[in-house]
Amino acid sequence: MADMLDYAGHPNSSPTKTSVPSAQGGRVSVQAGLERIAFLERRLQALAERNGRSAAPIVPRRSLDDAIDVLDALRAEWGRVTAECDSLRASLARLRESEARWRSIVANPFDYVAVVDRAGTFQYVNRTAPGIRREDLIGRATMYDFTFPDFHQVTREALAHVFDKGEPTYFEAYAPAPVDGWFGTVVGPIVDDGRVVAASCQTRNITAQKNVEMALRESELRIRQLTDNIEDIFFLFDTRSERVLYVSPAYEKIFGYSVEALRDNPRAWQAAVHHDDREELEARYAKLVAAGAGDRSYTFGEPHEYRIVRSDGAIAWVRSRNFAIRDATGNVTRVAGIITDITERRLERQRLAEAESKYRMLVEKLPVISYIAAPDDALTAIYISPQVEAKLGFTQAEWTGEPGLWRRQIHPEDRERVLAEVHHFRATGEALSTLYRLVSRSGEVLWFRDQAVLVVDASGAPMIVEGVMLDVSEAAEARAEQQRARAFSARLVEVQENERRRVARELHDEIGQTLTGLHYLVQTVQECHGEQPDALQEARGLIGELMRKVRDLSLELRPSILDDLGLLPALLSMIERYMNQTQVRVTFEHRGIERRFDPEVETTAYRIVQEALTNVARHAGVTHAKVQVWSDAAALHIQVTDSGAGFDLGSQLADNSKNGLHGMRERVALQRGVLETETAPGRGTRLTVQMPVGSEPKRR
Amino acid sequence: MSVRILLAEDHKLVRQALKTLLEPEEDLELVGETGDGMDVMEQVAKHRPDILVLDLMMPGLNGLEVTRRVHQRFPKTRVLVLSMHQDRNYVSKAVQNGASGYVVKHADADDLLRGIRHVAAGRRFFSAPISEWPPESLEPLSSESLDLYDTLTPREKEVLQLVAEGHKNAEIAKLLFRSARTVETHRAHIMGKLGLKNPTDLIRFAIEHGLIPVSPVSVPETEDGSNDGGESSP
Repeated sequence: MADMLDYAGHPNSSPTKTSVPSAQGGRVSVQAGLERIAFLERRLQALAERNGRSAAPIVPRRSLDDAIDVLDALRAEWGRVTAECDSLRASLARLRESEARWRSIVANPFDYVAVVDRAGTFQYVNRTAPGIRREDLIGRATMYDFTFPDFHQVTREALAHVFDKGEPTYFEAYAPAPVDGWFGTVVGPIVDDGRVVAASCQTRNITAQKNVEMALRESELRIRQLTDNIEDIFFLFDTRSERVLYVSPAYEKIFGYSVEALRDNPRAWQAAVHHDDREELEARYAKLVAAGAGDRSYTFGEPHEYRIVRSDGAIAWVRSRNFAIRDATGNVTRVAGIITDITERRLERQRLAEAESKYRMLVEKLPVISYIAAPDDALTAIYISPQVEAKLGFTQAEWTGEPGLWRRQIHPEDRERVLAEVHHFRATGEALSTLYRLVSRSGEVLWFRDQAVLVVDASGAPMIVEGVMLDVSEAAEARAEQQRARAFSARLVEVQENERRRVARELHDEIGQTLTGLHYLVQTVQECHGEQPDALQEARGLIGELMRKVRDLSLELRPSILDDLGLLPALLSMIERYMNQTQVRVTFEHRGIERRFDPEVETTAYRIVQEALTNVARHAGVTHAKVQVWSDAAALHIQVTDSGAGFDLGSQLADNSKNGLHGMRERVALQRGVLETETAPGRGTRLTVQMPVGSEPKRR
Repeated sequence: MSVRILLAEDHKLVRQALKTLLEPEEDLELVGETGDGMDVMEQVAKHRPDILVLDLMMPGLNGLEVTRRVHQRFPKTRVLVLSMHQDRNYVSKAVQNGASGYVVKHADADDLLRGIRHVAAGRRFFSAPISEWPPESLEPLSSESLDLYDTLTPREKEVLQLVAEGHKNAEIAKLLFRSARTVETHRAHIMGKLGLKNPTDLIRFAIEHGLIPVSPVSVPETEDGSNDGGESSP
């Protein structure tokens, strides 16, 4: 605003009246001077004529002295006049200059120049806006006629200021149509005899500047609203004055100090930086300011994280990204930046790192080998935990560096199976859990339980395989032991059955046949001799008794009917005998078992039904039992149900010898079948068996 | 004209006893003997006996199978089984395979002689106690008697019904106050017992057994009573 006042000299400084001050107070006109000089000339001429006609001096000495005095005075007077004339000339020249300046002001094409009275009525105007006639203004219109009502007050105040105080002022007002625009006016006093008689107005159209200014203000407001409200600190720093030009309010929240304090002392910023980080921060700042500009007016610094000590003493982490702003000459004039509070993020990262390190420790200390592998058929290891070295003798680097190593170290007997399982695992994405042997570098064979999952990306495509390998050599040994026990058990069952079969046949074929022979022979002897000694008759009875016993014993041991006729006749026969021997009625239902099954399946099924019915007769205390035996393409099913006493499964299982349940289970397990018992005291018993069967076996 | 007999019996003592037994009988002529199942056919082919007295227990070829083959290839030779077994399954099987008579070994010697003469005369003969059995006991094995639906426990029947009606495991669990896991186990048992592979099989089974109407649209709910497998337990 000040420059508006300066841009042209103020008219007040120009003289408004031509007056030359006289020397030594009194006023002497030029004309009077000239008259006096002319008088003196006339007197001197007369004296000279008189002195020339007489030899004796005509003029007394005293008179000449007077004349000389007068001339001296005249000369002095003249000099004074001359000086006065020079001063007058100079004054005129100044006046001319001032007038020219005025003329230029009044005639300039930008400004309206007017003279108004106290009421604002136009006395003079240099030119008028288009469409307004000069004669309509002078003495008629006032400044108020060209000012939007909102600005009448400002106008009034400006005029009062000029007229009352005699000082110039400036104001801006909006002029309505037909002028239509923003105008800035310099108003100054016109003084006559020390009194303000009128006011000069120099008015310039400032609409363009005003628009720019308003746009700028609006833009600044927007930016300020933005910067004031962001949670990050935005700052603008003047490198020359080393002052903070702007800092967003977030500074107070993050640093804990007030923005005002920072304005007063820009060094407060650096003071808040943690002393361990200060040096680097300053180095970075120096580097940023010194960096070559290139063609750009901005130079971005690298993001940088550092600690600050808040006003409350707490340490916070911030992340700062600065950029240097250059002027047209390429010198850095300002540094701007954005500072973000990353304390939480930092803590989170730290927690993660701690968790990771804990996890890593777990992975690397647990007695299992963890691995991450590529999802290929060879499960090429990307990472393997260090336990691998202790277990298998290969270093981590060796294990991950040699793609086919794992595959090669699998025990040859397991390799094909394991690779097929891996292939299936990759194809289906089902979790992998497999048991196999790995050969260590030294040739030791170790059993591993390998469990892995396929990790897929968002689209479902396999990314990596994560797995663990647990050395289960001891457990595997135990299992192998168990398998041996099971095999032994199977062998035992087989031997038992074979032995029974052999003894049964022996009884049947040898003893039974021998008795049969004896039986016929005794009869023949009886017939031949006609006599009927009691002893012979008694022998015949004994032989018959013996034959029956042998037959029953043989059946009990191993019914040949099972081998000869198959499961269904054997079961029918057995149930018939069972009903003859016990009070229990048996409902036997069957379906699809007229075919032959594997001898082991038939034997097992037969023994299961036999054992179950024995239990019913022995423990159930019922008069009725139901036996259901059926088969489909896949399995042979047996279900024996009674409505009797039932039993406490737990206790009975603990006492294997009592009810043969354990033996039954063992037999079923040997056929890879499942045996289930449902029972509770007083609620009867249901025994269900399911055994896989193949197609009908070939018979010899 | 005497009856020509071939004796097939692997036990020497018995064979000897039988020979001794047959010798005094003038109308019975022993034309040959063998102790091996495989050899029987050859002997029959060679001697063409009227009667083959056959032990079921023979090395080489099972007596039941010998009976079948002889009956097929030499229908004029009639088979009289002489066996330790008095199980009706054996008797029935022997009869099915073409035996004309069955004498248990512990029967009186007279029974055997009478049997030979009866069979030679074209009649059937069974020694005691077989002769006392009802005739149907010798008929082929009793036919299939099991309805698969009856193999299910009352609880399994309930679950099957609900599954067939389209309930999800979780719903069934709520309805029966059981855990979903228990229901899942029941379901697995049902599938296993009934030999079903998938839910479609299960629905088919349910329809076949009238557990659910064939078409829920055409059959009113009230007529859903054709439950041939019996109602669920009380």
